[in-house]
Amino acid sequence: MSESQFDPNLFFQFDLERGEVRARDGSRVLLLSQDVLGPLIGTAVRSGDLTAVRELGNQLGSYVKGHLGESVEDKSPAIVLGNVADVLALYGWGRLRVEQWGNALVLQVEKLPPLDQENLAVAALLGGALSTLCSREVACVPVGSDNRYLVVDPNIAERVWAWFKGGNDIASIVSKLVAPEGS
Amino acid sequence: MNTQVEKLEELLARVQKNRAKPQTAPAARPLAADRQFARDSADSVLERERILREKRSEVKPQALFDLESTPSEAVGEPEITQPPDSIEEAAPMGGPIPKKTGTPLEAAVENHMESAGVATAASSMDEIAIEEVMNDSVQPIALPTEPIAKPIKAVAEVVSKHPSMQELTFGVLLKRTLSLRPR
Repeated sequence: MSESQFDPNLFFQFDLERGEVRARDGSRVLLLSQDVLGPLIGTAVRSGDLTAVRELGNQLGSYVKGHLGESVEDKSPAIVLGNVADVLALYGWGRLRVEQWGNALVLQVEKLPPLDQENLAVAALLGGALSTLCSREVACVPVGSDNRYLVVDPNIAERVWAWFKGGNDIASIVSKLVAPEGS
Repeated sequence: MNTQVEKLEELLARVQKNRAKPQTAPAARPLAADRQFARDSADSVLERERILREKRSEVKPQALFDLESTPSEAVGEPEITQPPDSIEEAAPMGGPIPKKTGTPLEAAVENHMESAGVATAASSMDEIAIEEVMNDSVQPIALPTEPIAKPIKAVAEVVSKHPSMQELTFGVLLKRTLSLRPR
């Protein structure tokens, strides 16, 4: 294992005498089955408040940042996103893949647990993780039934979401976006 | 009997020949041959029907008129007040014999045959023609098409390549995707 790779060894500590499970950073963790978590997330989606899920994403991002250091943006995408994928897998949220569609960064999560129908919870989780990683607000918008999420500025997230709900596929959505000159 | 068989074969050959002619030729007088037969006695008509039944296995009948049209419309038959002078004027068989036309002798023969319960030769030919129409169901014809051309070059061409991933940091990748705006 190279130094840049995320180390999952002994990440969780099970203290059976105290009845606690803690992550490497000391935060307490509760183990929930997806049958329990699914309705909770469904309720959060219906109420329009996914803050708790985004906070979980923030925690996952902080694990990566704690491992890679503050200069995350100077590292290669493979290392950074590979670490994010490892942490996501460690928490049982599926396997992260990364694609580039022109200038657009697209995340895909395979083996995603069935939580909410529109996958808004995972979008919030990914957005929280990336936001913590790069120290700026990032939105991940579902853009496909195959669990793909487009990484965009939060200011255009609603527009992208409306395009997707309007029947546009990912290629069509990306074609509607343009990078400003000089960027 | 041989004479009648020869006559019948001659008529069939003439039918085939007339069918090959353009429609500008007078298509009228389709009933001349039938009338010629009708002039014979009822016994000769019965004999002709027996011969026709034997011939049906050899000669396939063809419909010469539209079942839904009136007979005169179907064969374009003008009014005939006098029978043709010779059998050379005979037109394709199969058309029905309109009653109340022709000579008094023909009418007398027809009345005699009807009273004897004997079908006329023309009605027998009608049955043959109807049978042909009923059996001649529409069959699809496959139109020949050109075989699929094998491409000699690539069928797709990349006109817009992805930005180079070499020396690309996670920060640059993230900046590109976050700078995207709607067109």
